[in-house]
Amino acid sequence: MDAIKDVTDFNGGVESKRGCLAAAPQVIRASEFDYYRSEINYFDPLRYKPSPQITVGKTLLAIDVDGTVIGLDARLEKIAKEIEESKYILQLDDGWDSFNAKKFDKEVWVSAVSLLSKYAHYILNEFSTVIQPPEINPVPNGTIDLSWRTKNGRFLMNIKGNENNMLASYYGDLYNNEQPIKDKLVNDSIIKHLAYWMRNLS
Amino acid sequence: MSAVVKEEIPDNHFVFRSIRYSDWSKQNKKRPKEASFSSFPDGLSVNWEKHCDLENVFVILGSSKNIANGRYKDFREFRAIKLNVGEIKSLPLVEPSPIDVVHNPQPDNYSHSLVCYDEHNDEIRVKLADIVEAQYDLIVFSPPNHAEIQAKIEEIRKRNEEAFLDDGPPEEKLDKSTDQ
Repeated sequence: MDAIKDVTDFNGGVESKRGCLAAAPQVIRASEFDYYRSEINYFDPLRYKPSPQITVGKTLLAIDVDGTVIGLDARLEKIAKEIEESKYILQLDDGWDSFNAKKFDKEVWVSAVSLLSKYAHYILNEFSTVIQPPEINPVPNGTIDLSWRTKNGRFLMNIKGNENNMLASYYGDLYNNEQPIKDKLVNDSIIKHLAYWMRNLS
Repeated sequence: MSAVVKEEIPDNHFVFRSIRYSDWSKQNKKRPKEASFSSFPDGLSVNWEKHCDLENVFVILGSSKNIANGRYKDFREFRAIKLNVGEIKSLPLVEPSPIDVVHNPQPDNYSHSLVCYDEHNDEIRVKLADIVEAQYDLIVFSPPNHAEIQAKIEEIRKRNEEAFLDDGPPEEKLDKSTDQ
């Protein structure tokens, strides 16, 4: 793997006793790392208590895009790979779909992968469930889709950046319109009932 | 210039939607990505089968240019899906939301039509993608006769180039709404 690295690589193999992200403060710049700005404390590096299964310092993957670092628990490696592969979206130019598609703002991509990693971590920590990686797809209008089909359910989240005070919208069900879930997200705060529903994506 | 006649599209008619090969799911090659059903900017562009057979779908594609780079599109990069108008309009949505299929003829493409729905309605895109997967063998088509399609495209391109020399750029060929 090229850009997906174990955080210990960044820190000369020195492990921190304080918590996962504290292991590499000089690499993960606080001002650019979304979780540092988050109001949610489940992944706040100063408060985060890793579960007993996590080996501190050896379990965190970090994906770096132009200085924006997304951190992921190693159990979410498949998601990390999907995020890594999705970087191509940032290289797309106007008209990438052969029609009149827009090129992408980096902010939208960062919002998409941040939101994905945030929910994936929350579901992992709260429900001990690892969700499947979504397909991360560019949409001609400059937004990004996170698309899941699992044996239990289907789910689509469309990340818009911050268009008209709407960060994202989503729809999911357990096929045949069973237990549908549909709404909009105005910010990246975790919606608990959505996270609970997303356990179906494991 | 006489007004272009717009017709009503009956529910038992069909429309073609072109989707690039790269816009199909990585995990399931029979399901297009939901992104293929983005109704941006004015609606989902389709061709009404009444005025455009399958072969012509690809001829129209190959004789139109990418608005961004000015190059002609390669029809071989696309597959066409054939959707029933009534089925589109009666998608089983958990929250009712208007979907309409309207004729939207263009100077160079009389069959051009639009499937209109809320751009932010993710449910519609999920269900359109799944309709295609469920009926894949019946409704998804690759270009039928490459040589014949290519010959027709060459003829149209040549005509366009001649018109360009005579009258300047053929604006309608770069019009975003004529892509389908």
